[in-house]
This record gives sequence, structure tokens and C-alpha cells, in this order.
Amino acid sequence: MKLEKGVISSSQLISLIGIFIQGSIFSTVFVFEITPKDAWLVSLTSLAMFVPFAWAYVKLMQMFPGKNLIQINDIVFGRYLGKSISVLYILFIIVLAATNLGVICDSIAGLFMVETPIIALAIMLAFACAWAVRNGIETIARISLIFLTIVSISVLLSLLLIASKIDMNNLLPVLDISLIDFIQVNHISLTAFFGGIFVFMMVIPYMDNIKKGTKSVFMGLIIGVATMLACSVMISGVLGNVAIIANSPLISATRQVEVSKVLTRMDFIVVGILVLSVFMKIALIYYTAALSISQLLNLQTYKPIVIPVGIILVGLVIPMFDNPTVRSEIGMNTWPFFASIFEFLLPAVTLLVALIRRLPQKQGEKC
Amino acid sequence: MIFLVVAIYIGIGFFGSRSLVKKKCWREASAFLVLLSFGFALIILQTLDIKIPSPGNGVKLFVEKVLHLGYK
Repeated sequence: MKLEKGVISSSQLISLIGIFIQGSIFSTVFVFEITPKDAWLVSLTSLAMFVPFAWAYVKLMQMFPGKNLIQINDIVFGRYLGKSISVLYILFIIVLAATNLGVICDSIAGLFMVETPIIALAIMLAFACAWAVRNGIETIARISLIFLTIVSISVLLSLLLIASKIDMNNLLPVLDISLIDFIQVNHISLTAFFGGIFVFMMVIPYMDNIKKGTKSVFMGLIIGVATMLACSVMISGVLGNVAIIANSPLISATRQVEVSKVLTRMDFIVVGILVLSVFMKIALIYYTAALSISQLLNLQTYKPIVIPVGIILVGLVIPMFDNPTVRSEIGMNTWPFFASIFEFLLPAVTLLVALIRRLPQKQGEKC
Repeated sequence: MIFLVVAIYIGIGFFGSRSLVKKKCWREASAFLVLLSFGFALIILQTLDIKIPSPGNGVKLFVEKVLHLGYK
């Protein structure tokens, strides 16, 4: 039985992936802490490194059409090992959703709504996400196109308004960092910006034409990276080395906008980008969490558990990290290794085992 | 505060499970109640100022002490 009745088109998958990557723009703070000059280059190099993994995700989906990640784990690894791996995936997805929820609420509370408790912001955002998730993937996909357009136009508008303050010398010299720093920053970029795409292994089965999956995933990646590239050039060009100490480099950069002393303090544009893109990212991760749990427990529908999963996410926001400093330290030094297990290692092993066991053909022969 | 949280829990639990029990979707109702109880347990512990182990620190310990990985 299919848990999700909705169907999405290839263009909707493009917008979903595009907005999902745009939702990671605020994680660029980790990249700027290490290399304020080469952040734009890191977006491109980490994309190049991510391409084989993106291909692996889509290949797995095409090998098992109509099956989601949890079902594929059962087929590839067997009932018990498959279910154990699925439980680990679910725990990781919940941690990922709670982390994103915590980061956005912390940013809003720290920069704009200093008197508001983080938990109040988390409840409001989780409620909005729960509403989107309960309406299904079709609704999320439809709003993703609108949000993708708004966020892309906002980034372009910010870039145009701040163009006069961009000093391209701030981007030079290129690659003036040690090899280990370059590896670390690419690893952070891979896991924080692109690796999260693995959650689409719960969404791609609901595409109307899965053969167009590869093209859609890569188109979505290109749109997302183009936005990140624009933001990176804007931040590096305007702030230079100051980006290292900025709490939120994008907001600090857009605060520099001053057109004829009339258009100033344009950071509300960035807050718009922040809220729309991160809302979509959390909604998608939240949706996959609810769908994965329902699939694992063999439920008829995922809708009854949407609210309980949301409450778990809200409950995890505060205890997730002791403070923003610890979060930043974990995000830069240990999270990339932890996330790599679920985002790259396990999908690659799953694909390898499926190829070695020639699973799709074997199943076809049995039928 | 604790009474408010408990009242919300009872409200969501009652209205959420009522339709599932009526349709005799026992599996869905059990999953709903177990997950809801876990979520509210997290919130109640925080309301009572009881410190919950941080999953972030768990990730750090796992990567550094078990996998022996990490930058710097």
C-alpha cells in the first residue's frame, strides 16, 4: 500500500531540490569561518564532489521504481538488518530536522526577536510545517515553486542593490588556504548543503515519470548552487575577512545596502529568504521523517503521526546543542563525519549490495 | 506550566486518537499515542528543569571516541 497518494512532476522535483539547497544558505557561516575568500569556489567544488552521490540516489530509485528508502533497505539488506538501518536513518532524519529547526529559531531570536523564547518560535514554525506536511507532498511541491521564485528574485535583488559595494579584490588570492582546511570546508559544504538531498529518496518514488529523475535532481542542484554562489560572492565581496566573525554573514552583508540614503537596512529581504527557504527545508525533512516512521511501522497512512513527530522535534530543539558555540564547533568538526555515514556511505553501500546481488532482476525472475 | 502541558497532551491525545479508534485503526492509534507520549515526555522533562542528554553531544562523542574521527 502506498502511504502517499500524491504525485509530483519532474519540474516540481526541480523546485523542491532547488529550495531545499537554498534552505542551507544560512549554514554558509561554517564555510566563512574557515575561508571567507574561497566560499564561492567551495560551492562549485563540493557540487562536483556531490554529483556521483546524487547519481547514486537516483540510480537506486530507478532500480526499485515506486519503492522508497525504507522499502529498499528491507529488499537489499533483508528484513532485520534492513529495519535496523531504517531505524538509524529515521533517528538521523529527526536529528537533522530538529537541528535545522533549532538553527533558524536561534538565528531569528538572536538577531531580531531577542525577547522571544526560542521554544515559542519553534512551536510556531513546527505548526506551520505540520500543516504543510499533513497536506501531502503535492501541496509542498506546489508551494515550493512559488517560494523558489520568491527566494531567487530576493537574492538577485539583494545582489543588484549591493553590487556597488562588492570589492572583487576581497575574493583574491584564490585558494590561499591549507589543504586540510580546503578538505574540511568541502566536507562541511557537502554534508550541510548537498548531502541532505538523500531525504529525496523518500520523495522521488512519488514522481509521475521517474526516468526524468536524474535530469530533475541535477537541474535542482544547479538552481540551488547558483543561489549559493551569488550569496557567497556577495558576502565575500562586501565583508571580506570580516565574514569570519559575522554571526550571520548574509544579514551583515545586506545591512550594508544603501541606495541614495533611502533604501537602507534591507536585511528584511534576507529574513524573508531565511524564513521561506528554511521553512521548506524543514517541512521536507519533517515529511520524510513522518513517512519513514509510517513505512517502518507498516501504517496505512502517515497523517496520524505528523503532530506527534512535530512535538518530538519541538522537544528536541532546546536540548539538541548546549549553546550556539558548541553547535558551531560540532557543525564544523564532527557533524560532517556523522552525516557522511547516512548521506554518502549507507546509500553507496546499498547501491553496491543491490548491484552485487542483482536485486531488481532477481525479483523480476521470481515473479 | 506543567498542568498546561498535560492538558494539551490530553487534548491532542483524545482528539487525535478518537477518529483512529472509531475506524479501528489500532496500529495507527498505538503509533500515535506512543510517539505523542515520547514527545510530551521530552517537553515535560524540560518544563520540570530536568536536563535531557544532548543529542549533539552524543554525535560528538560517537564521532570522536568511537570512530576516532574529527577535524582539529
